[in-house]
Amino acid sequence: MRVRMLAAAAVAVLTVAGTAACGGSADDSGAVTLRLGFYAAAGDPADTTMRELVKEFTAANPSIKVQLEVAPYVKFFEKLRTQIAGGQAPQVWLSDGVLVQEFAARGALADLSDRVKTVNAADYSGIELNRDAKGRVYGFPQGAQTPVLFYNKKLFADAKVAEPTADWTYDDLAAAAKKLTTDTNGDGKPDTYGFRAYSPGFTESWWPIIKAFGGDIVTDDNRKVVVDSSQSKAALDWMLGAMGKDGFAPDYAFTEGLGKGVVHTLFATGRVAMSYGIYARTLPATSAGVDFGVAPLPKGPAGRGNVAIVNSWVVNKSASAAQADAAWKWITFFSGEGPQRKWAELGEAIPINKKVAAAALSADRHAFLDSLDAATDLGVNAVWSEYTEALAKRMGEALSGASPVDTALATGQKEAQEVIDRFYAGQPQ
Amino acid sequence: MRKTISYVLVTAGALVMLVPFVAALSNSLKSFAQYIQVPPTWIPDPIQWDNYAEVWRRTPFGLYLANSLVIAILAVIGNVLTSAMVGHALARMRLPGRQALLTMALGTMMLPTVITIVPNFLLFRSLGWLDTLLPLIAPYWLATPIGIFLMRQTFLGIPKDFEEAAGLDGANPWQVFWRIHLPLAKPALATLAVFTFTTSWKAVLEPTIYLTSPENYTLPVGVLSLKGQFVGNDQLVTAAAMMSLLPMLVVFILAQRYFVRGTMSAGLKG
Amino acid sequence: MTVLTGRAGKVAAERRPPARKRHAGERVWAVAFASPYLLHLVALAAWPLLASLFFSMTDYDLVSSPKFVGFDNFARMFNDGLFWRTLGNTAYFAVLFVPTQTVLALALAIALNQRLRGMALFRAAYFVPVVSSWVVVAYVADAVFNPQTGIANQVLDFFGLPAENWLQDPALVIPTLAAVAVWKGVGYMMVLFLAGLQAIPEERYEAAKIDGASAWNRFRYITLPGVSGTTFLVLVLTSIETLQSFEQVFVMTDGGPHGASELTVLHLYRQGFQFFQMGYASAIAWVLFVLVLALTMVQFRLQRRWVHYA
Repeated sequence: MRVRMLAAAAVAVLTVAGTAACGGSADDSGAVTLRLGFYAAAGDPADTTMRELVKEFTAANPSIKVQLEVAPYVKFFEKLRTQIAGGQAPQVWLSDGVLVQEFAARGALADLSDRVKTVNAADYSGIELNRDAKGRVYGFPQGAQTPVLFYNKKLFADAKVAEPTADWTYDDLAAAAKKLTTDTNGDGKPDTYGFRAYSPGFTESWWPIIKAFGGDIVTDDNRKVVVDSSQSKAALDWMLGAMGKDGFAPDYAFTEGLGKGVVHTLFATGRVAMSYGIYARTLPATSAGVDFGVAPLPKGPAGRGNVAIVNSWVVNKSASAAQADAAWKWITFFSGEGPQRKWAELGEAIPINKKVAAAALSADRHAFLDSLDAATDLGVNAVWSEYTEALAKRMGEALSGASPVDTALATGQKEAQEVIDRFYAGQPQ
Repeated sequence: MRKTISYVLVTAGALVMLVPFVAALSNSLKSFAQYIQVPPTWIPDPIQWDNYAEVWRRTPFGLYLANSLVIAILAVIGNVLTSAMVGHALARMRLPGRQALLTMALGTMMLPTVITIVPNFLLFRSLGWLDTLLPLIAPYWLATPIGIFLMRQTFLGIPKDFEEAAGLDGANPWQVFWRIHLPLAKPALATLAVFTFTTSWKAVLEPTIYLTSPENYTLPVGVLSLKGQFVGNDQLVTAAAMMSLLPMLVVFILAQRYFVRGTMSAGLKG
Repeated sequence: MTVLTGRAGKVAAERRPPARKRHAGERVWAVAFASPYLLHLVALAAWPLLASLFFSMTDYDLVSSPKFVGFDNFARMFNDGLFWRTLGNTAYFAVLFVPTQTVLALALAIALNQRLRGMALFRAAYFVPVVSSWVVVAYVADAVFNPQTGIANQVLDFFGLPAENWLQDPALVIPTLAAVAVWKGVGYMMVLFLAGLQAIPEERYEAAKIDGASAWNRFRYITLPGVSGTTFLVLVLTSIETLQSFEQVFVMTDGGPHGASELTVLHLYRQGFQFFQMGYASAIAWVLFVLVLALTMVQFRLQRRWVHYA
């Protein structure tokens, strides 16, 4: 008797567990169901706005049904990778710009080259940053990010230091940062640092600095790692000086100890007076009530080293023709002026619609637009995550003082190159 | 004298075990400002009970809890039932190739999880089970080596005469198993149940690989995903982690003797 | 001594044909009873073993079909500095973790075995970390080892010692992880030892006392041999577990800082599910499998030298 109950219960629950999984794929009467993925923390303004835009979109296109798949950034890409492996990825999703080529190389993305030709490229920023070595385009820009120099106006005023200008050099930055570094409670450790030099997010740290010093990370269609140079060494030495003998930047261990999410709050909480930050960093600073300005990155011996990431919509290769059309419809809808304006209100990314961007960013934020125009891509290729991780590990060793700069650069270059070679060696050229 | 040293050692150890939990609990009741305050405070001021309410409000915590429970309960039923069956076959039935099976069970116990990750992913993919709870339940319905050994050991320890004494000579093997042997093995079954529950409840790797929709997340995966959800608000994630521990703690307190006795018998008897 | 080895004697006793006539379908019944495990062997043992062996010789991104590459993956592993580093990290972790946990567990078990009052309560305290998931432990550990806000640095400060960066310090990350792992696992092993201790007949100690054996000698000649079986079990279990350690680093450090705590299985997970290199991941899995097997066999070999069965 009890066995049967047990078995029945088990079957019942298994059935529930099974059916909970299915569903969502069936549709009737020519309607298209589109699974649309994007990353945002649930309940965030970005999440809310995206949902509103989707509602607007489906209202205008009643034959398209959209199912949203939302997760916070790290989780989103972790799960997206398993979904791709399992053949279950959404039909259209928002990809971090640096990952587009990775997904494309795994055969997960539809080639959008022909569709992109139908739009007026001059109206949008970042389309070219998505073009791969063979001229194909696998993503359409959704929002752009590029680092500029953030500075805290109050701290500058308090220390009576002149605010950064477009003519600043790295020496000017260092001189100002030293003056801004203060130890108010007299414990021998600064409470406010002039500058945040190191960050685990290298887009706002060693990458642009190395480029400004005349070094580079990868060249030749991003297949040749060239980071091991005297210029790179000069850049890292400058950073080490900032965190060490010059003492105007929090050191590596302190910054790592904060954890990835908190590093970005260093500027917002006034613990550093200057920091490189992408456009998204304006949000926490604004919400913390910091009165801040942005200036172009300072000039190094070889320029400013501007880089940009263009986060992009991508379409699943295995999407049906109808789904792919619907996905493209969504992409063009999102890039239009109305939605772009709405998205710009979030202040999360530089709008890719140039008209909207010029209007949405106030004059004192135009450093972002200039940086974007001057920017190169972040060394994207089909193994971006893997090679930059290999490199970042060695850079971390150098910047923490765990190993000498030249050794770290040499090993980093070798290991990153191995990753790239391994992948492209197996590819038809 | 020796007892005193022992008391000191054991008490110190117990403090080392529990103080971190207290510290984490304290963290979970702080405001963010207090959470990052240096040096830290032990007693939050004010005590922010609302952190727990906020986690509940802002996340599908109830859903994570339900998923974890469904998986754990079905895993327990499956593993206890099938391991008992197999253990019974090995201990009390004329199973052809019994020795070979026993050896193989020992072998599979040594089989590292790592080697199964990729093939099992493909297996469940081909079954269309990805992003369902099934890959986390089904394996338990095929008996686990540790369960088989525990049950076999238990059934070996039941004297032969019970069968005859029960006067069930005409009964079929299922009835012998179900009516005579299983009731006698209750402590071992309870042990296996609590261990299976714990294993399933704690799992991180498999749910990370198999569950992609938030509505399917288990508690550990759900709590992990909050890291990105509450960026810079680690006190909330700590509160969520504490909340995910609570059900397990209840089970542990209720079934404590089975944990302890279970560990002892599984580890040593025989 | 344990579930691991079972007892040959009893099996032999079982084999004797019963006096009464056997039920005609008894074998069929037996196979039916064992069927879940037969399926287990096919689906969850043979399939993964063979499949991963096959994939280990392919280039497979899970999307396109696998491409046979022979032993390329193993050759790559041999030259993969990162792989060796993760193996080194794993070994370092194991060397710190296994002996510490074993010795501490035994010491605590001996202390608890003095028939202390409140023993159940103590045991419970030691068991709470055991039943906690690594996700919970990560946040509990953060309350201790956070360089800014954790207890550990407060304690150091109290003794006038400089603060440490614990999990953010490449030199300290593995020892810190090992300490947390001991903290989490020692309760379980302690209970195992407790059982072993309680199985030692009281008379032996009585007899030794009468013979005037010192406390040390009683420990050395009665307790230690008495728990050698348990020790063996503990060592086998923890070695297997340690070589496969994944969840702890996945949750606590993600392999950082800059790879100093990247253990082999995390490396494998990354290669497979992050970088889509299932072939290489399978090759790593096989190497680990062989290592686990070898280690277990060595331990079984060595046990003859030092494990005493009463």
